[in-house]
Amino acid sequence: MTPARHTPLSKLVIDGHLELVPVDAATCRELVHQARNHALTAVAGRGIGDLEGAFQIAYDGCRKVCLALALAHGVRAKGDTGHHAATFNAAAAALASNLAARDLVDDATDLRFIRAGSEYRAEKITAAAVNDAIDILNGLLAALPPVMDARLASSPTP
Amino acid sequence: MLVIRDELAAVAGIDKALIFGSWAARFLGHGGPQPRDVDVLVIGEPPGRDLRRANARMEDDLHIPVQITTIGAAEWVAADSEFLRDVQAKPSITLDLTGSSDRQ
Repeated sequence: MTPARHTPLSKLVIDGHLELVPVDAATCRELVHQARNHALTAVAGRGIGDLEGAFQIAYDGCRKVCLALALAHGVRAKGDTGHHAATFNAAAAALASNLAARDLVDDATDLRFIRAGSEYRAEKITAAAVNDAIDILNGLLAALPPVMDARLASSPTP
Repeated sequence: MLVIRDELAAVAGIDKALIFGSWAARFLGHGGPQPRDVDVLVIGEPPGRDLRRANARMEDDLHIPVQITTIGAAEWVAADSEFLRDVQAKPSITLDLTGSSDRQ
């Protein structure tokens, strides 16, 4: 079975997980800017021992850089539930030919298991989990913005 | 159960794994409502990304949430939390990561 996160963008739209939106380069770049700030905030949080806060902000940074890539392709999550999963799936689909970057998006997607454990089962976030989340975010910030910029450069301007 | 066992068997650093909670209870014949998820306890120090990727594949295959909790071997032996005492006292299925599974 093909995991949902490896479903083509067009099918995610047809199936109602994503909707088409106008491409706004400024919004995409602002999200990447926020994600870069989140990476710094996560490191600072880790430094003072706020592991839960550091993880959450790193996870949110991952989500934002993936959202930026999705928006650069003119799509965003649709519906009331599963926004995060749909956003990560969109980014993975946009990276179908870039396996290393897609693997990083999959790693970010899988951070949901740590997030769910913390939010719904009160499990403690470990230092290893925080380090991993920050590493994944930094990896995404290195890999995805060039892809996003190339997409924006090829998109017709209004 | 085979999906979970096979996925965990492929992850390094796992000393022991068991299924507990409502899914284990129903499987072992204890009455109750249909389980909405599968609770799994992993004992050891597996690489986080490998375990999470395996977790994702389990859910893709089983179409049910699989909630994995990871603890260290010493923590399992000490059992100094209500959670672990509860897991150890109630029905569970120890997964033999080399092949079969043992019911408790």
